[in-house]
Amino acid sequence: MTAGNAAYTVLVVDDNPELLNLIAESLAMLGNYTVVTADNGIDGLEKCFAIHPHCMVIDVKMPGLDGYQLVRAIRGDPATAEMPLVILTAMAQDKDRFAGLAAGVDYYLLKPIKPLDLVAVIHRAVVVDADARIQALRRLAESQ
Amino acid sequence: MSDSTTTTASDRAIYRGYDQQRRLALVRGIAPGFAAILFLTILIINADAPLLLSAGRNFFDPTRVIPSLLVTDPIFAGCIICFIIAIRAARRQNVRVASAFTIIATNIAVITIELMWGFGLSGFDYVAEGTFAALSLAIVLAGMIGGRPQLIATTLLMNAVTLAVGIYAQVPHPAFEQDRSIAELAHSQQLINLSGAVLVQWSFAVIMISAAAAYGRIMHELGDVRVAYERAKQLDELKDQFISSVNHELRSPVMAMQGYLELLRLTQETAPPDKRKDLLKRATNAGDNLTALLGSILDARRLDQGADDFVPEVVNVREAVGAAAELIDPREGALVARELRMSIPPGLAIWGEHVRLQQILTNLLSNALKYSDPGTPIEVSAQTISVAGRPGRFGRGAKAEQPMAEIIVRDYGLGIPAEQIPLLFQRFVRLPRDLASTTIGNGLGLHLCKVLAEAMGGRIWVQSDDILGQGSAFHLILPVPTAEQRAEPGVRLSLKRVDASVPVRGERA
Repeated sequence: MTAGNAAYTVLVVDDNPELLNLIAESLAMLGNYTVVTADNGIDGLEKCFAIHPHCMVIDVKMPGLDGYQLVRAIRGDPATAEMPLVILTAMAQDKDRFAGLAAGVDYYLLKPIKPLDLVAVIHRAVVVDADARIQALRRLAESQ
Repeated sequence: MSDSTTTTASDRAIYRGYDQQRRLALVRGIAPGFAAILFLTILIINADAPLLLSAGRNFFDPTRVIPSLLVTDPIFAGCIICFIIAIRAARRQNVRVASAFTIIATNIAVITIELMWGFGLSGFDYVAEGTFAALSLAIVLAGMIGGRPQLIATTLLMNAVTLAVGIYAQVPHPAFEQDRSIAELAHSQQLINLSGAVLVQWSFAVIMISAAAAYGRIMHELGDVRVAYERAKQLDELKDQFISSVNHELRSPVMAMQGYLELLRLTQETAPPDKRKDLLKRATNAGDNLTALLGSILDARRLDQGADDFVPEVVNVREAVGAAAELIDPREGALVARELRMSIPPGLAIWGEHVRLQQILTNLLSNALKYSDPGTPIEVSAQTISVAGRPGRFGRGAKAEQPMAEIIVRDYGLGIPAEQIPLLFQRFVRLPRDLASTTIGNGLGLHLCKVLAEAMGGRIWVQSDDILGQGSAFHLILPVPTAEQRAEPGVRLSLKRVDASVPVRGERA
């Protein structure tokens, strides 16, 4: 599963430097993705619009622009609206989870998560879901 | 200490609330009934007048009946209006107006009826006993709706009316016209009866006073139960908050430690040795962070119990502020460099512990950064002020004016809602708007500040108007060193004695 992954870029946004490094290392070492990091929401948004990654991993509690504001901004731009988004947060309550999914993310993951599990989810987000999305769009185009 | 006074105040508020509900309910029940009875009274005495006049009995003086109706009708009408005002006030929950108008209207009505009889203003002599009973009724009503002062005032008023009527009233009767000696006998008999009437009135007053006392005791007990319930509920909420906040704070370091170790396990065959060393080092760091977090949670608990013994020294305030500003967690600091305005006299020092002062200031500064917009300044000022010392503190004379250092950390941010200020310094309390937002924090900072300040013999409070842009000012007051303490910076003295005068442990008892 790691062979062709270097073609996929994953943007990771987290304000905790240790976790940012861990997630980046995990994705690069176990999944062979090309990883770009941002340590706050505003930086994350700028990099997202600049490099158009294939997937983003986003923390919720961050100074400046928080995770949900970031998700709304990305979903609001037609160029990035279809991007698979993964929330990775320590906010473990059901209501937080509901708020996250309601904000329009594809996956809501809880810290702590093991590196391999995270890589599996990212794989699903960039490869499996992206395929399904393209086929759905194709079916929609054919039916019209 | 401050907690216990606020608790007493809220207890009193609960008792008052119960009592006000009781009085409002009584006014709502009694005032309409009395107003209706007075209306009937007006009808009856006005309908009686022509009958009395046409009867032409010689002891009814037509020249007195008509003018007396001209006086009493407006008085009774006024009383009915007073009752209506009382009912409307009771609907608006205004206890003071409702009870005052009910008591005043009742008193005026019964006194008017009594005087009508006593001075022969109408044909009411045949209900003489009934009018004495009406005076007692006013006393009972004052005891039920008013407080003890109103009850006693009403009783004294009714005593006076009884005595006045008894002594000065001319009871008209046909027999008196024929025989003066019978009139005098009746009058002296009436004077003897007065003492009995006054005694009966005071009996009613005593019954009402003791009933009110018994009722008050029950209300107090009910109030205690409710306070205990509210406290248990609050404690439960705090515990929930604590669990979720600790849970939240532990997740990141646990993930870092577990993640690096897992990564190392999965890649140990393939990764270069430098990489493996790096991963291992990062895992160890994450473990250290975890330990530090556990330590700070335990610190908060241990400090609560006031078990810490520490060594005071002369601490320069300006240096401490500088050192504190350096320690602020960059995660909590804003993205843009902030303007820190300091106005601190260079020589100003406090008598406390360097690390602790620094801890307080770091907390206050990082809060100021967190809760205000980038671009607004943060001000730190300090001065020496004079505070009335508590008796016996530091073994000095009672109530001496004592110099203290006041340090103020001011921001121009969100401010704090007034009703949430009393909660602010409690453990694991975070404002509702912070829990809903993404601001980082565990609800320990200000609690630690309070405990540390009190342990050093000082105190801390906040001034805030909850107006956006007005921000809040945290005032920290700490003792300044005396001349001897300044001269001998090496002196070692346990602050246990200071702890004793500042009940850190007792505040939650």
